[in-house]
Amino acid sequence: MIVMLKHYLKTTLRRLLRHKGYTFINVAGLAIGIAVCLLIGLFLQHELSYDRYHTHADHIFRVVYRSEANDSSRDGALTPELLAPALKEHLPDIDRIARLSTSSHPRVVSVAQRRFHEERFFHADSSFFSLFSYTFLQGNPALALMEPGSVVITASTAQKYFPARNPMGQALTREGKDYRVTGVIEDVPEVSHFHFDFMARLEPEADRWFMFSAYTYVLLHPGADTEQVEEKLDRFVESTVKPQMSGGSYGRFRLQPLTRIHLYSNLRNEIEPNSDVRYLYIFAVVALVLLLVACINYVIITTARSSERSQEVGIRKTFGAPRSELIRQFIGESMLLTFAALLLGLMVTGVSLPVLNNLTGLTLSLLAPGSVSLLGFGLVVILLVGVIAGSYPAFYLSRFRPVYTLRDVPTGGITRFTLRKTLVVSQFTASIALLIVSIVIYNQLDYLRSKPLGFDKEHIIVISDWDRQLRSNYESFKHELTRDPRIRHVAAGYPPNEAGGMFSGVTSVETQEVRVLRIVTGDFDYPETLGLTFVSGESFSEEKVTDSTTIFIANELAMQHLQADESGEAAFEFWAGKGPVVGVVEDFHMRSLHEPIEPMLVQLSQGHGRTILVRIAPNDVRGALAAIEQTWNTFTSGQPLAFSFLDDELDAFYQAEQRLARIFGIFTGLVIFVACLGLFGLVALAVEQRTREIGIRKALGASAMSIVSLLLKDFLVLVLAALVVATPLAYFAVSRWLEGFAYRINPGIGTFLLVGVLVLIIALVTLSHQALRAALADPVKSLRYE
Amino acid sequence: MIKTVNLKKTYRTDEVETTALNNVSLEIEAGEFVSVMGPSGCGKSTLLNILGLLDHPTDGDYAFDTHDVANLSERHRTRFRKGNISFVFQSFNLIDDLTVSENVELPLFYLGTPTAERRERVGAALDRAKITHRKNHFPQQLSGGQQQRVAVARAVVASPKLILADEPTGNLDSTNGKEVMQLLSEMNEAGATIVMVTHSPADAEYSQRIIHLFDGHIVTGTI
Repeated sequence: MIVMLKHYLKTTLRRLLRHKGYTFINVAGLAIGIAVCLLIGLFLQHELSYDRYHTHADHIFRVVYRSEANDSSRDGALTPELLAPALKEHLPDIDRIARLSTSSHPRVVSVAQRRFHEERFFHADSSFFSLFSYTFLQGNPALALMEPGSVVITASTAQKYFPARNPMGQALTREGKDYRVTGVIEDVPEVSHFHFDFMARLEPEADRWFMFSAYTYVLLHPGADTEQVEEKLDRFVESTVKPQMSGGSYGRFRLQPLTRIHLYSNLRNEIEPNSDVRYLYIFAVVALVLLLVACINYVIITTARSSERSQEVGIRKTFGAPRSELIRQFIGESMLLTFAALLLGLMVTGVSLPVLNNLTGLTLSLLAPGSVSLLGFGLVVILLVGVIAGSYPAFYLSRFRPVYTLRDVPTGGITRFTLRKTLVVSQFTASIALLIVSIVIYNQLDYLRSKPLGFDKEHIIVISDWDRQLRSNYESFKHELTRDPRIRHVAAGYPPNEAGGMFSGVTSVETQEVRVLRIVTGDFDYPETLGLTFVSGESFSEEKVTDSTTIFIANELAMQHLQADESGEAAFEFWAGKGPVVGVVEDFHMRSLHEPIEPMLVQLSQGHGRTILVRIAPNDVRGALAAIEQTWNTFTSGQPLAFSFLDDELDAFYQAEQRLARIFGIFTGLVIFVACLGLFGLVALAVEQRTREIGIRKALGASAMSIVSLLLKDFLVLVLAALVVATPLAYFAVSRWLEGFAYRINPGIGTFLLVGVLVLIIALVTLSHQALRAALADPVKSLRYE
Repeated sequence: MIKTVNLKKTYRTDEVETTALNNVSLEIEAGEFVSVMGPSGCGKSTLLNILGLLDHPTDGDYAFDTHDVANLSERHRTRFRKGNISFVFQSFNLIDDLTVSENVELPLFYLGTPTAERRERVGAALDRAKITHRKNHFPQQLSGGQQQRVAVARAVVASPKLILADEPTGNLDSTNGKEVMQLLSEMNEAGATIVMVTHSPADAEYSQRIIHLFDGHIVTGTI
């Protein structure tokens, strides 16, 4: 056995070295396939490991709210603060329960002279650290959040604020409130659906069932049935919540497994944007397609070179080699080739991991604990790819009968040729389909970026953190700012992004229709700052403020939903006030274009907005920013100015898609490259095998051009056939993907034509070199050679 | 050692049926050196293929050492060939990726001969073929004559009962051709049974008996 292995290893290595070009095509293709599979494997493993590091991960659930007030509502991740204590009291299935309150905007945290904007300053119940599992470096998880004002910080945060001191017991200040460090934990693992730097004790404030401000996590007793618990939650809502709602409607609470949040949850008010399991499937399929394309290269090139191998098969059989022995030999060869590809693939993976990390913002590592077992992966790859790629050639070649192969009798018939054609078509089908999908993703993203949103998103500066001192001087600050010609408008109000506003039941005073609408607040200049377009009525103004508690601007959809008269004197009422609608604006997007436009109200709020929006003149952005900073410094006590551009924030809605587009683009390029490697190899072989024919044709007067077209014709027909097969497949795939967007492009015939032309050009470039070389060669040489 | 009775071989395509051998009956004794001659297309190579169990007859009987081998499956033919029958081809048919000694070693390799014995027998065969000095070269590095001597060494290394040579000097110049024929003759003197297809009367003179084929029939020769 060992002797045989040695024999085959030796002959295979010699053959691979003798045919360096074809070896390169096979090894390079497989190496790329393996590297991409490895990279995607690491990525999938990372994505599937989210939140699994908690000891009780399988029994922890997030309570989410399913609004049933109107049809278009979606589940929300936030729950009322009142929920947790009530559930602890009413549901014996719950072992532990903890509320988590996050911060959507950065706030300044200060320790002596150290002041930083901190976005990840969360609050939670004292039970938080017994429900979730974090590694405490200092402090006691059970006691850390027991005292008011206590805060647990991460190791990085401790290093940032207390570089040379023991952080335990140290004081820090946030928004005028003092905290004391009672614990230090290791940094929150990347594979968590939320990340915090500070976890302070939660001091509940909201006492209403319609104020959704906390995330509620429960640890159920082992063996608790989630369906039964949800039924009990329904009964709880009926018996406890609804009676307090003075007849208003109320939704239901549902349990969401902790370990499914990252991949399956896309609710309102998620703490961080989650991933989507569909993207995992897409990447897995792309990786497999790439590997398959590389395997197909191997099959195509090996079978195309069968005439050369057939002699060897004949000799070996003549001298007693049984077929099984030859099958083992050929599969062994492909395994050896795969092994070489695996080594190269590992190197490629090592080099490209930083690029993938850069694209995805992750820190994947081949050597990280818990990463894919390299050895295991290698063995599986060698076995699988080696066997898959090697099987057909092995069975095909070993079938040859020496009586034919040793006498130059053609060894295969139409079957072999048809199979190779089918394989080339399938490779290019995959390439073309992926290219179409890539282009559609790119076009859709471009559409999302350029679609009018109902307001002007350009040149708006968003300042989220402003301190109490500035709040009390807001009007003066605003006045000072607007004196600068580079500042067009200033408003305090919710920026039109996902987190903006609240949801509440709103009643039309006139029609008594009730609908749950999004309500955002803004001051007098809010509509002008955003650039909303009025269809009737007018903007907020001092004169419009009457004796009523508030005034509204509604979008067209809100007026339709509440069946209010757009031209008349509509008035609305909700829990925080009642007042007239002074103006109706064209519908505008408060959320990403995945979602349709919502009915919504802008409620006048003077100085209560948490965010300042500044519309600047487009011609001097740098100057405008300097002016804002200068005014800011005058009005604040040394607080650093933190700002962002609204269009950047809106772009972040499509981060997942942008990431998808980038990765998809790269993979598509690789698939096309590997397929072209195969095509290059195949045409090289065709040229080799038709040398005599080409020589004869040239001797009889064929022009170089006619020889080139003779060689290209066969292959281009295959590429065209692939285009025909790929187009409906790709159309189906992109249509499904586009369904996830409320606003989407219609991939027209242009895209498909573009891809067709593109692929033909790529194929032509791949084929031309070999074809031209053959066509320009001296016919005497080829005939003499034969 | 070999006895065929009414061997028939026809090739059939969609439209044409060609008879390559027609009722060929012959006997060959152990230790004989027999030449098969005849014009191109007369069925010489077909006969050699059937005798070498590379192909099976359409009809007729074939006994090798009293074993009926006419209708063996390919697997059984391969198994029977191993150690019993060897070949020397006109176009040498050496494996390019194997060295001279590895090519010669091939039949022993499939016989499962132990390494030490294999080396010894390969050494002896190379010596007999006077090609030991090129044992680590690859076929492309050898002249045609040298390649054919390697092929002969390979044919005898496993001491087969029958060596079939298909125009062994067809691709060689006269000097090299002569050397190869002398080598085959020596092998025959050492006890090997040889059946050789040839066009060359000079080569045929090395044999003890000549069978003439014409249009698939034996026309002269001792049966």
